[in-house]
Amino acid sequence: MSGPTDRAPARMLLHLIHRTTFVYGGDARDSFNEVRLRPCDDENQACRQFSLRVSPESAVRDYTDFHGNTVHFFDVPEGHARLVIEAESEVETVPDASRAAPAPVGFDALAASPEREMQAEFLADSRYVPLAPEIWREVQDVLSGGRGDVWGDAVRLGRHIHSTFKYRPKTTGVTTTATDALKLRAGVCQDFAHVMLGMCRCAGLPARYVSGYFLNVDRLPGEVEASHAWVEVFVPGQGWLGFDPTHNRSSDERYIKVGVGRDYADISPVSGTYRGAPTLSLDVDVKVSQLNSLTAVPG
Amino acid sequence: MSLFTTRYERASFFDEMFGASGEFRPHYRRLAERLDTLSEGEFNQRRAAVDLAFLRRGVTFTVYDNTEGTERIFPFDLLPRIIPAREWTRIEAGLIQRLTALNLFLHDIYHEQKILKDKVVPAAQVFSAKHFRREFMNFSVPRDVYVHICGSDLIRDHDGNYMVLEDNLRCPSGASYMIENRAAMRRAFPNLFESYRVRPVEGYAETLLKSLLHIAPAGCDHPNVVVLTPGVCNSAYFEHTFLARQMGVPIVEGRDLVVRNSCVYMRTIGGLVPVHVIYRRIDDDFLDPTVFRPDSVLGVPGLVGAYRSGNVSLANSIGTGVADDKVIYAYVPKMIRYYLDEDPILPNVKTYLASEPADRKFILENIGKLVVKSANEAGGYGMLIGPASTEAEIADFRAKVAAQPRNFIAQDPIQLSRAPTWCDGSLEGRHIDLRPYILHGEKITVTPGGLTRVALRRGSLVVNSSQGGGSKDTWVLQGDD
Repeated sequence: MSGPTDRAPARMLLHLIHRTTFVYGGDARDSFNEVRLRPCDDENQACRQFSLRVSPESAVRDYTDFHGNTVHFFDVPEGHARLVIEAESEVETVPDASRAAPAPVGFDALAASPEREMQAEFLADSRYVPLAPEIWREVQDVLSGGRGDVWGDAVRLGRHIHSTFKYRPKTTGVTTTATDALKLRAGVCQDFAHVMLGMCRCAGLPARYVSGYFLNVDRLPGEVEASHAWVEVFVPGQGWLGFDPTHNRSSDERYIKVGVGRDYADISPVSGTYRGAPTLSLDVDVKVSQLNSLTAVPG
Repeated sequence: MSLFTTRYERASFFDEMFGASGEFRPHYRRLAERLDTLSEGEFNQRRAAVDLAFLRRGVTFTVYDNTEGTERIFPFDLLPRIIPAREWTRIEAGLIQRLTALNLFLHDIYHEQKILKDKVVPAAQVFSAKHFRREFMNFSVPRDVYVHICGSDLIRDHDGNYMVLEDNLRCPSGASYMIENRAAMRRAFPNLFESYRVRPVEGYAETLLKSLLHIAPAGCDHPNVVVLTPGVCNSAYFEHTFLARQMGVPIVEGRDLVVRNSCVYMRTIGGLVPVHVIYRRIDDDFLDPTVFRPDSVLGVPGLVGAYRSGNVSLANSIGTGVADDKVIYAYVPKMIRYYLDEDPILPNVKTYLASEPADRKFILENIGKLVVKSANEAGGYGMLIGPASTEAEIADFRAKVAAQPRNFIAQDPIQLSRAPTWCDGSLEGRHIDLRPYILHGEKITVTPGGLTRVALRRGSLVVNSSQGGGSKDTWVLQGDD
C-alpha cells in the first residue's frame, strides 16, 4: 500500500448530508420516527459536528441503543404533506496508513478470547441472516483448501462474494435475506454484507453489520450515492476490523461508520409510522465530500 | 354423600384430600363432613346454580384455532383445593424469593450484565431469547421494578413437594377467575367459610391498584391509571374488563390513546385526558408499531418514546419475557444463589436444554419418556408429552428439536398431585396445578389463594384452560386445619 510512512499522515475530513424526503398524497399525522444517522466515534473516526433538522419542525430526543448507536426520535402530531429529515455531519477519519495492519491470529485464540462469550449474538442467526445449509455449503467451497487465520479467512469469504456476485440495484429490496441474495447471486451493498455475515458466522467468525457512508471515487456501474453497508469481523487482540465485500477492500479513511448491529434490522437509518394519506414518494439524497485537500489513497 | 371412601380411587398419585392409608388429611376433614350431610340432589343443585351464575356474569375465556365457537365458560369444580398455613408459608417465601431474584436478573441483563460476565448464565442463551429487548438496554425502569404482576405455576410431585413449573412474567392471566371462583363458593357454601377461617383473595384488585400507583411518574399528584386491552377478541378480555371495574379505572384499546410530545393521553368526549400508568395486557411486540412490529394495529405509536421519556409507566415493563423463556427458567435456581446467596425454597423441575449438546443427545434418545416444550409458547400450545403421544407425534417433535435446539427444552414428566373432582356423577381423582398471583409494589405480596387448574380429562396432565382444563377455588387457611 502506498502513502507516506515516515510521518503520521494527515486525517481526512469528510462532510456529509443525508436528506430523506417523504411526500404524502394529502395529510399525514401522528408520525413517530426513529433515525440512526449520527456517525459514531471510535479509534478510526471522530464526529466533529452533527446536526439533525426535521421539517415540520419538532423536538428531537435521543438515546443510545444496545449496540452503542445513537438513536434520535421525534414525532409530528399535526397534519403535514411532506416530511424532511436532514442530517449533516463532519467526520475526521484516520488514514489507512496509520492503522495497524491485521496480524494473523489463529482460531484457538478466537475460541479462548475473553470477549468470545459476549459475542454470541454475532455468531447466531438474525432476521436477515439465517444460518441456512446453503450458506454453510458455500463456506465449505471457499475454504476447501483448509483454514488459515481469522482475518485471512474473512477476507477470502468477502473476496469470494465480490467475485461471484453481480452488483445489480433494484433486484433486491428491504426484505431480501442473505439466503435470497445467495440464490440470486446479485444485489446491493446491503445484500453483499448480509451474505458475508452469514458466511462468516457459519465459519465461526463473529461478524456484525456496519451502516455508514463511503466517499465513492470509482463508482460501480449503476451505483447510486447513498448509505453504504459493510461488515466487521472480530479479531482477538485487534478488535473489530472492517471489510467491504461490495468494493472488495478493507474499510479505510473513506468509510464513515454510523453504527453496528446484527444486521440491517438493528440499524436501519430511518424508520417510523404515521396515520393518514399514503406515501407518494420517498427520496433519499446522500452527498459525501472531502473538505480538506488530501487525495484518497488508491484502493 | 359418602362417595369418598367407597368408590374413590386414589391410585399411586399424591392425593390432596387423602393420606397414604386413605384417611382424610386434617385440613379436608371438615369439608368432607359438610359434604356428607348433602344429598347428591342437593350437591347437583348447587353445581347447577354456580354454573348458571358464571354464565350470567359472563365469566368466559376464548379458545383460539377452534371451529366450534370461541368463547367458553371456564368449567368450575365445586370441591375446593385446600392449603394449610404451614404449606402456604413456605410457598409464599419461595415465590417472594424467586420474584426478587428475577427482578434483579432483569435489571442486571439490561445494565451491567454481571451474571453473564461471570458465566453463571450463558450470554448466548440470553441474546438468543426471543423476548430479550435490545431496545431497552441501559433503560432504568420506574422504581427498578420490572415485573409488577407475576403468575408462577406450581405443581406437586408424587411425594407432595411443591415445585415451580414455569414463571409468567409478561401478562399472566387468571386472577379474575380466582376472585370469581371465590364469589361462587361463598354463595354455594356460605356457612363453611365461617367455620374454616379461609383467607380472603378479594384484596387482589386493591393491591394491584396500589402497585400501579407506586410506579406513577414523580411529581404527579393524581395519577391516572388505565388497563390497556388488545380488545374483545383476546382470550382474556373478560379479565381485562373485570380488573378495570374492580380497580375503578378506565379500560382502553390502543386506538383510544394518543401520544403528544412524548406524553400519553386518552381520548374522551371531554377532550384529551393525561394517562400516567398503563396496566398493559398487550405483548411487547404489539405495543408500539414505531419500535416493535410495524404491522401492529393494537398498539399506540409513540408509546415507547413516552415510556423512555419517563412520562408514563408500564406494568409489566418491556422485555420481561426474557426471564420466563423456558430455557432461562432452567437457570433461576442459579440466579437465586447468585443474587441472594440463598438456597431456592421452591425447586425447579429437572430440565434438559436442547441447545446443550449433552442434553440434546439425551432428549433425542429419550424423547418418548419426556415432556418437550417450546421455549416461548404459553397456554399448553406447542408441547409434547412423550409417554402419552403417538409414534408420529414423537417423530415430528424429534425432528423439530434437532432442527431448532434453542427453541426446545425437555423435562422429566411429573406425576402431578390429584384432587377429588366431580366427574359425571362421581368423584374421581384429577391432576391439578396452582397459579398464585404475586404483586410487586412497594413490597412483594402473594395473594393467599390462586387459581387451581384441573385437567378434567381422565389421566390428562395438561391443565391449561385452552386445552380442556377447569378450575377450583383455592382455600388458604389461617391455621393448619
